[in-house]
Amino acid sequence: MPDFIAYVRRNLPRRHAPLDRYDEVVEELAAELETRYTALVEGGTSDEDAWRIVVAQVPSWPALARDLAAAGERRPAATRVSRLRRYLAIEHWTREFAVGIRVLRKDRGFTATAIVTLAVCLGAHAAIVTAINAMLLHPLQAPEPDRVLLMANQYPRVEARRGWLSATPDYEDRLRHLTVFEEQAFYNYSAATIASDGVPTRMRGMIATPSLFRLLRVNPARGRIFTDAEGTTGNDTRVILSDGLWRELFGADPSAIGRTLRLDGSEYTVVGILPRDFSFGDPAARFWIPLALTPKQRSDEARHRNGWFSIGRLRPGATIEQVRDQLKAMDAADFERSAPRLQALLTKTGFYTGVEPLQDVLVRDVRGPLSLLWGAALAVLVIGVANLGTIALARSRARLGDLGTRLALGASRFDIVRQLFVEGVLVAAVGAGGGLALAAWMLAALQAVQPATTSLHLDAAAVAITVGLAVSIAVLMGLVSASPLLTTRLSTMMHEGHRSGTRGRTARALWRALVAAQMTCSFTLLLGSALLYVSLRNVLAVDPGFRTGDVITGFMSLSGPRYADGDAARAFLRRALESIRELPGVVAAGATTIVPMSGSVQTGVVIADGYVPAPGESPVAALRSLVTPGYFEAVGTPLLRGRYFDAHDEDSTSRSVVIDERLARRFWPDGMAIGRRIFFPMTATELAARPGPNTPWSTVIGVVRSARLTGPLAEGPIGTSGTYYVPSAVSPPRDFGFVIRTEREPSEIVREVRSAVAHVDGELPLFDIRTLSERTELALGSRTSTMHLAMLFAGVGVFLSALGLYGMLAYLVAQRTREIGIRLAVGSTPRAIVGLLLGEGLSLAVAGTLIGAAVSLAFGQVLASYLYGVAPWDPFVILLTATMLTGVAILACIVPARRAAHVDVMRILTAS
Amino acid sequence: MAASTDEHTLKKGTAELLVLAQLEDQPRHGYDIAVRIEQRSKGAVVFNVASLYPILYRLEAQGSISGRWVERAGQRRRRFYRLTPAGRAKLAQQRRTWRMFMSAVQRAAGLEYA
Repeated sequence: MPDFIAYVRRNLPRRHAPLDRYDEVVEELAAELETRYTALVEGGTSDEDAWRIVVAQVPSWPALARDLAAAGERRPAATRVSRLRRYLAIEHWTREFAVGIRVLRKDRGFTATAIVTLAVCLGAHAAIVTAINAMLLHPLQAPEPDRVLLMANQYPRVEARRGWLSATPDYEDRLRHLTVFEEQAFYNYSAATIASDGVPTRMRGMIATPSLFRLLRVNPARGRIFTDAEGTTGNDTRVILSDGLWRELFGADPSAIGRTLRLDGSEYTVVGILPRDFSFGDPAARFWIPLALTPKQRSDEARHRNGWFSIGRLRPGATIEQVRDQLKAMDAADFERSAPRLQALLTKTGFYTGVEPLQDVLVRDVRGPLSLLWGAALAVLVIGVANLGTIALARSRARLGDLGTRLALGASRFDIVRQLFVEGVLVAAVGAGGGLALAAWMLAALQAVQPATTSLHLDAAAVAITVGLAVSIAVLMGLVSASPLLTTRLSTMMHEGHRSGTRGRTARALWRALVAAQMTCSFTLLLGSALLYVSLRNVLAVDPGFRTGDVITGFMSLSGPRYADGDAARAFLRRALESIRELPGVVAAGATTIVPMSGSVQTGVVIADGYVPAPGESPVAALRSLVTPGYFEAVGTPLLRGRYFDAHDEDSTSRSVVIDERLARRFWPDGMAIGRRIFFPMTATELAARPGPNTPWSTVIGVVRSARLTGPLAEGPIGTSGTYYVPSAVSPPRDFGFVIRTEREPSEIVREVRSAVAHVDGELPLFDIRTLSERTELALGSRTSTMHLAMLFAGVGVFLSALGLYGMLAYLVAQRTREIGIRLAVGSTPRAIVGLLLGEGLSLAVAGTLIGAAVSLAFGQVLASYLYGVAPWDPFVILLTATMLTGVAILACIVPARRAAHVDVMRILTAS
Repeated sequence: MAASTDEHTLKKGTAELLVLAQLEDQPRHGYDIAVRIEQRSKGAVVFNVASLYPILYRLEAQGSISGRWVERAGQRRRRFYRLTPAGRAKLAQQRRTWRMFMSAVQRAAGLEYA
């Protein structure tokens, strides 16, 4: 018997592949070989042959040693560690992604649809989020913006909405009393004629106390900010330019500091240039001049003539409550030292000084539309993601066959699930990238259309939110794709593959739920858009009280020392209007201080002779408009009683006044307004004084239809009670607008009007020239664009939902071809099949409509404040929307239903 | 020796299944396992020592089989392997997998029912 132990020990290397049980392995192998040898010999083989055969059992001892070592090393613990190391390796993931890309490229249809859907939905959402961030969350670009507060004089008994303005004497009052502020400022919008390239151009700017820049903590890019000394009369001819104006006027020349600039004919010294991204108050402001209060502005006479903005920055640690307390104390002290008449007035109007964060005031008008649009963007996103979910589900069910084979061949479920997640991540990543690009493009387009808004650039928050959404969507898609894999047994996968008809009940239920959710979102989107559309129609249908189509308007500002005298201003107006009236095609022309829907507003209190106010009734505040003869004819406000202004009223001593029907009805319900007297107190003392023999009464000579001068929905807070018109000759305005009615195309006549005016005074530009219909459009701009955007979202949402419904039905038909064939064979008609499928699709649409209607009713209040003339639960609109959605659903279902009806019965039945 | 490359590949794929199956009824040692495989496959599948032992050691390292030295009087001690519960489960799973795979391949490759 050969010594097998020695043999094995001699041949089995220990060095190259260390075995930890070397001696045992040797013993076992030796025993193996010996058993074989013995069996062979006992079977009759010769010793030499037996030895040869046994030796041949191990062709290569080093190879065996390596194999045994490798086999022994595969301990469970070791396996786990190497697997983990494998997962962390970059090459592993690169390979996974390469495979994913290859798979997705082969499946072009799915990939393209998924990416485009994601890009559109994520892009729209990112754009809205950016707008919200810029306009709602950070409307004020200053450090610690929440500590900047706005103070305003409030008269809650007279005005329905909160005011935001203060009067000039309040500045020093508040500086004295409000110690919780570390800095306070007064500011206002301003404008001036500046020669740019020799052309006098009207430019927008701001006038502010020097403390404003300190309050905003803004450092100029060049030069300096105003000193407090420059806020006093005589020293205030300084100007700070915006970056844009500096580039335009001085070509970005650094030596612009110290040079002079003519504003409205007066010389101002440039002391500083603001940073490029600075924006406060008016985003289009190009220059800043210091506010130097005159004694008149500081006097009590100027009290309650509110036209200025008053803000303050809280000291560290101070609260708004402390401000309110100090304001209350200040108001009380002022009340004490006021004359009894004035006290009565203050009580009647409910006067107090209000304070709130400036940011809240800035966002008030924007909050509604932006929130609406965000809701719409979210709805579209939900619809888009639902679509993605359904096609991912369909795709993975179709792949069940080959995925099952991979499982059988050794892949683990985890491997395959991981692969599906990688595909989801790839689609989501490309989709998100596309979406961000789309959002950037949309924002740039919006900026070009509305340059006056704060700059809108895709910011970090929007990108982060989009990436977060993309990740969630990737995970969701991965889960949805993997769900058939994880819930189906391998046997089912192998046997039935994608031909499972009744299997996958959960998948089908999930799918139906997704489509129903899409229908719900689509319904809300459609309803919202329909309500906004109806609102806009209602607003447009309101009679404005003036003509819009053939009236052109333009502004002028008689600036400079030449027009310091009232006579000069009167003369200018007369001569300019004469020239304009001589132009061919001009039907009527006039001038006014309140051009309809131009944003200018002036109010005044009206006291009627003999009118006894009811106890507790507040004084009547109305819009005050200074007009020339010819204005009413030009603007087309109908005359109801009496007469318009004419040549008799071009005298500075004129005591005529025209009122609108609202004021007439208020004071003289008997209709006899003509010849009655009214008085307009221009100061607080005049207001408090009792009407007597010395009161400068005016006589009503005409009553006109009321006009919505401040906007299409001028039921607003200002001039609620009506408008009164005073001849401009009485107090010639320096800032006014021409109103010209023309038979020709307004654009044709502009040039001639300009030259007619330039003839009278060549240095004064006519600016902001628009027709009244253009002004109406502008005034409705926000409402219109909100509606358009909402409609766009609704359109996209409905389209995607229709696609989703179509896809589901098409898939259903493909799945149940066999069942349909059988039905047809046993006597069902194609029409019944169509009916069956339509029923399936429509049931989802109806479910969506009902749930959508319920949701809309529950949240309708949110929309209510933005609607006009229609309630959020208007049954007609709801019915219309339901009909639209059902119509779309039917369209989506038609094609698959018809295809089902034309199923080839014979082919189905003969297929095995 | 393995004949063609195809057979070699197939053998590699089925090795563990074959080995585990032989231990289903009773523990055996290496030679016994190889003999049974050869007999039951009517000589079509033959494992030599160099092929068999790495498989045995791998299965043992995985915990599918466990080996024990058995001493018989007058004989060299031998290592006997038996199925663990995990091994039984693995055997059942591999049997299932191969059964389905075979039928799938039969359908896909157009083979007749055996």
